[in-house]
Amino acid sequence: MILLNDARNIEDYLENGGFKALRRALEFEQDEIISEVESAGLVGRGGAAFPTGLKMKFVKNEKNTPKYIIANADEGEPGTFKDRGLMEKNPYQILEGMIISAYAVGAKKGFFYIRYEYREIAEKIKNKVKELHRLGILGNNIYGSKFSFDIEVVLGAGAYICGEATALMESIEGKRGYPRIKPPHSTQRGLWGKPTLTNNVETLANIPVIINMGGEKYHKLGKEGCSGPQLFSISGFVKRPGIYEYILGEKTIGEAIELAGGVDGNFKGVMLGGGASGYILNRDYLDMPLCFSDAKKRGVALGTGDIIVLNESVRIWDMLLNIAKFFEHESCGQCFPCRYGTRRMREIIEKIVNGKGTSEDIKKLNATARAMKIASLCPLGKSAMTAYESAMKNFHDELMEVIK
Amino acid sequence: MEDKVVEIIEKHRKDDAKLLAILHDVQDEFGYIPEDAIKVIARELKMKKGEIYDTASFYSFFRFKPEGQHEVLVCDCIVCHIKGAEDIIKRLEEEFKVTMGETTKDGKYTFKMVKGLGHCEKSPVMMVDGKLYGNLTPERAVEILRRCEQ
Amino acid sequence: MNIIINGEKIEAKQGKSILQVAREKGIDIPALCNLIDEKPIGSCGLCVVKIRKGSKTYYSRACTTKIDEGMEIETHSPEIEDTRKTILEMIAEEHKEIKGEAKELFLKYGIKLKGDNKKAMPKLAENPFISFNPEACISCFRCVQACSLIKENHVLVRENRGMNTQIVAGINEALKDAGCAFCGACVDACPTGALMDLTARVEKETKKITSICPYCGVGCAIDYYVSGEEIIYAKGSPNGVNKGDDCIKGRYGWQFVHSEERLKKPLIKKNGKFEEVTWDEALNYVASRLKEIKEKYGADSIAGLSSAKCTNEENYLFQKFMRIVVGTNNVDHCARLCHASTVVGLFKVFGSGAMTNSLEDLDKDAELYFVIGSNTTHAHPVIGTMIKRSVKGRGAKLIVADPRDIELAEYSDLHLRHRPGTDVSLINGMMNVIISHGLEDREFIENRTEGYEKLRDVVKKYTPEYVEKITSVPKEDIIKAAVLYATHKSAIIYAMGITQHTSGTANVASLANLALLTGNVGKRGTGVNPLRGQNNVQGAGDMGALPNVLPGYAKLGTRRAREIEKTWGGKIPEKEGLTVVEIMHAASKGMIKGMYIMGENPAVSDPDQKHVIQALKNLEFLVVQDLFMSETAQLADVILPAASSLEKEGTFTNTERRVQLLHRVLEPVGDAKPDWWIIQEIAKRMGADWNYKSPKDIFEEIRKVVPQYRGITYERIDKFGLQWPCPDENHESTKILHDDIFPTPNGLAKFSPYEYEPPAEEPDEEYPFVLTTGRTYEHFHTGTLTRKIEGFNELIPEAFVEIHTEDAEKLGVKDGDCIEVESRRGKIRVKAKIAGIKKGVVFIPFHFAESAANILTNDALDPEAKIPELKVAAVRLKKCQ
Repeated sequence: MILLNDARNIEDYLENGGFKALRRALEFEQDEIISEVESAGLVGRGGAAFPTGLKMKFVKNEKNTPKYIIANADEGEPGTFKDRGLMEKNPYQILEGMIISAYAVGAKKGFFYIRYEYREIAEKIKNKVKELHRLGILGNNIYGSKFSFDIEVVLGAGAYICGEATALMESIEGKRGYPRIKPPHSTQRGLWGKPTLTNNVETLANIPVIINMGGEKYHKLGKEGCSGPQLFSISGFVKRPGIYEYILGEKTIGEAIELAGGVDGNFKGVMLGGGASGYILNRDYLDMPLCFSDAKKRGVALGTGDIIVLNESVRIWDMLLNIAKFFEHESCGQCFPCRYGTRRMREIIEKIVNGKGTSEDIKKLNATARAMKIASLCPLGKSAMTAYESAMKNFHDELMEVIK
Repeated sequence: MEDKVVEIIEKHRKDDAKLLAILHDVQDEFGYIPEDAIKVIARELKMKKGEIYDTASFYSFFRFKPEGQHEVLVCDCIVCHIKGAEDIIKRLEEEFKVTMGETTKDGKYTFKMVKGLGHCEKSPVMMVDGKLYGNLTPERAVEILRRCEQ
Repeated sequence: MNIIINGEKIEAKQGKSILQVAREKGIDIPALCNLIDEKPIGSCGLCVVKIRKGSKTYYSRACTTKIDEGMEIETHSPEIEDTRKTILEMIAEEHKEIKGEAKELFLKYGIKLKGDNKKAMPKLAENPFISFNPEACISCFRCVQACSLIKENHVLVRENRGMNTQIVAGINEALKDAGCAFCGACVDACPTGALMDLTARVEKETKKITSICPYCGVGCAIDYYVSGEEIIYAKGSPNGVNKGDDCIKGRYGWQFVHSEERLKKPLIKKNGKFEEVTWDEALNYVASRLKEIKEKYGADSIAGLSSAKCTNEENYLFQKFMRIVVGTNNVDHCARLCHASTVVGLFKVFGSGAMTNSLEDLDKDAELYFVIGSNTTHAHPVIGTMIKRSVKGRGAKLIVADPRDIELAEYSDLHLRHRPGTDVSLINGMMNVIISHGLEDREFIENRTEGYEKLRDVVKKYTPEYVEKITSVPKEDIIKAAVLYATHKSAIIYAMGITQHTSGTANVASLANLALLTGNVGKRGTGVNPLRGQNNVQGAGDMGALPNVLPGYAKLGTRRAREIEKTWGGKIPEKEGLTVVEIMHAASKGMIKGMYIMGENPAVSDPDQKHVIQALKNLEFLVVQDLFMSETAQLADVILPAASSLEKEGTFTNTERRVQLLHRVLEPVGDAKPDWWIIQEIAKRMGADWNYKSPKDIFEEIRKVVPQYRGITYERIDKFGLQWPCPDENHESTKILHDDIFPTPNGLAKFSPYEYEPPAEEPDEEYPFVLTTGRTYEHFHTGTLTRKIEGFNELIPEAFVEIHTEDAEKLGVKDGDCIEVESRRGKIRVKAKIAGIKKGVVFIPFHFAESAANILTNDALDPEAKIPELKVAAVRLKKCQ
């Protein structure tokens, strides 16, 4: 295990070589750290898979100060729970990664944003921040270096959209979580208009690993197009649901299900990627390796790395209705296409689930999907129809069967 | 009340991300966010009360009216859903004579449906006053709540 | 920058959005949420376009996307039009009753509204001026943008999220409880007719007539929408100093013109009762009584009160009437009660008594506003908005000095809560700090001023420690204020909190000293800027409605006076006349026998009310010319019904010296006549050979007599006014005074230091509280106009006394309880209002005749300007029995 080690208290963490990477990093030039991360090929684990090193470079190169760093623990995709597990089991590795990243980009202040549902974890992280202060690992002149850094833990209050980086920034600033219009990008103008690096907590936990083993070596973990370990939330109808850590590209979806105890009941399909905005796939995908480039080749994405296993008790339209309700509830309402589109999507699917769907409704659903994709302001609206569209492809007959 | 709110604000005066933190503490203190507290926060932070309400009302866990003694969050995310959340919700609504979002007549429970508590390995789940209960069946859900009455 | 829109090559300026460029080229891209081009919110998504840039093709909003070299843009491709249609269809499924701009769009795309779920009425709808239709509201947030970004009020906000997002006021309250300014910016912004003015209705024929607001001295241009002889709604005109802004009074305050209570016939009191008479009878009677008194007691036994609410032409004619028809200089007007000390104080230091700068340069260039003794957002709301916008929008600094937590204090960097009446000490203290820190502008002092040494000597003892003792402002704040002021391009803004003191002239001169000391005069964004309370205070003074000076501030008995006599064809008495308060004293002593009051209400507005009423009752003859049966009119022998400013032509001069033309919006109600006509008819009947056919005739004479107005003509100011001095018809008008030399004999400004003198009446054991008075936002002056409007009375139905919570506790008084407030001159009962105010100080607005603050106030006068101390009186309080 690289990420999911059990090091809940500082003694355990230090014993396993904790904060060695930080001490080492403090002797590096900022650019050296960033180039290690770049050569490691690490990409973000929060869903968008953006190259982490590149993002760091953008922030580092900004002249405007102060700079900020954000650890995004607003894990809100239904079916995703790996960040929770990581924070419970190995919180210091995240904090260490955060401190190293802050040093690399020149940030003096960091925010650790945790969703409200994980309130207890937020309390624990707060205590750990205090603890690190006492140990001189946070605060002024960390480990006697010239680098000073502090972390403020921020508790969300129930809004899925705040997982989106700019909505999260608005939330930290004390506003409603409306995603911002881009450009400018948050690496340029983020929190309070200042350059800001936002990384998912799992991404951050990879940073000490890279510093310890070196970018080149890390890069060799996995295969072309996907490097390093990744956490997968496996749930639904499997015998041993839970968080599993695999080196990217080593396992296929089918193997991952088997390693989680196999299907509970008769296999029907999986939902892959970010929960509600993930893809509904049939058995044709069981041989797909869990790797970004393989996913891309097949027109899907690993997203936040969750696999929800479906057995034959699951009806696809019913699932889509649940997803539509989710988006209707979580649309921030800032833009019309998403605000009205998620409402309409739910209404039409509800009609279909009630046995009254017509081909007109399918046309309307498709038109809504198109308008939302073209005109929504942020990824929530743009991806709200992903499940529907993928299901239409992979479970076409089942879906069309009930349409008059 | 004013003094208490001011005390909370002072605690967060130095935070950069203070508004959400203050609102959480106020809600913990009073069980909800009273109008008068919003006015005090506005005055102290040199904001307009409407600006604070604009922010606060966006988030689903802030409430502006007193609620039941126990907060029951029943998860209906996609995983809980396919694993039977609907039956649990139906059973709880019958048993406690409420619909989701309401408070029982005796003021004991406020039920809310949420979409993702982040414990899908134990689906279906619910959270009572911050404590998580997993692998629920309708019967077990009722039993857990009845137990917490005692 | 070169771009291609729909295949056509277009050159456009960098920094513009695609939407801006497209609209300039006449390409119609729909959009429902955009309000401010520079701050797009990108909500509605209707303006989405397809962009090709290099190898990339993508969709983006035209409002939020800036043009970029080489962009190829398609605005109406099939998939984009489909998207727009889908968005509109989705809206149509949820709403009905949509009007206005949005309705046009639905028609264009052939979409029918079919929303059928009834939406709940939010609480904001409970208010007297603005209607709200939840079925029509699409939460496009234009109103929210207007309320926050344009007005900085933040009253309209969003509640909840997603489809449940709705517009609410404050914490979902009624508009007035949420602190709404009723400026109507939200109504103007709304594209669906969800928000509308209550009085607005659809009429076949409405005409828009632009005139000048009848209330404060800002002089906003208002567009009145008229059907027949009725105004159906009004809003701030984009073509005025206000640039489209307005306030509750500009927007809804016109409603008094249609009041049932308007005077429509001349009235003569016969056997103690008013009887309607013909104009001829009334005018003959007035002329004969005035003649009779003049013959019997001499011309100086008659006094006239002109009015800052009347036009320049009418003020000019009124003082001319008093001076050469009656033959006395006993003419004054309410400016005596507001800015007499400004004229004297600024004249002393700068050689001119007017506001030095203009709203435009203060708006754009002031780096710091020092607001002292001005509740700007209430008394001069459009300027208040300007300051709020500058502070929030472009980071201007703000220092507020006021014992009350006025609204601007919320926006300030520093709030100095000094004891009422200690302004000289505070300002001297700031100057002391500036000199001791070496922050004075030596070059400016050297080249443009005289008397610096004297100033330095006087302020020497006003150390921060010493001043803290007098003002109770912490010395750190005094230092901070001084340093901030001296190190920025700073503008002083003040009003009655400075002037209405026995030390009024000293206060004003000290502010002028402060500005000189730091070189904050004669440049954009600086200056000393008194805000005039009435629409035409500046003009009434310019026209010589004052006992000591003639039109254009010509002194009595000088060469200029003799030139005026030539134009007038009559002799001007050389003896200075009496001021307002002196006139009342003289009347009560029987030395003034006859009085002609035009458009003023001294029975409520003047200090020591009991005494004023007794004086008016003591007169042998009183004629009052007004719109309404005011408290003063009730005491008259003859009442002459006057036309309101919306019913006549003429000019007003606003606070920044801008002479603005009125356009008649309505015909006068009943038999009411314009004041100028009435004055002329009385004059004629007293033997004058006058023959002015219109206000324009009078203005042509003003141009001859008043050099500052010489270059101004009705034609030049038909659309937008000019600022005096404007010496000839090619002159562009003067935006900033004193940029080169001061209008003093040697061209230098003169430091005029004053020592601090305590107010005439200080709190003591017997009367332990300090009473200060002023205006509310909703009402105006003595309420003659605003209290005729139902909606205004609904918002503020009665007087109140603002009191600090601890003081209230000590008295055992809760919010809303009755308090008896008593001074050495009388007592009144009012409702307690616990508010942000300095301990030991209470505030009562003076609009309410039934609980008149001026029963309590002190008529002690400033020795130089003769302005009474309306801002400080010692009072005691007790809970009503």
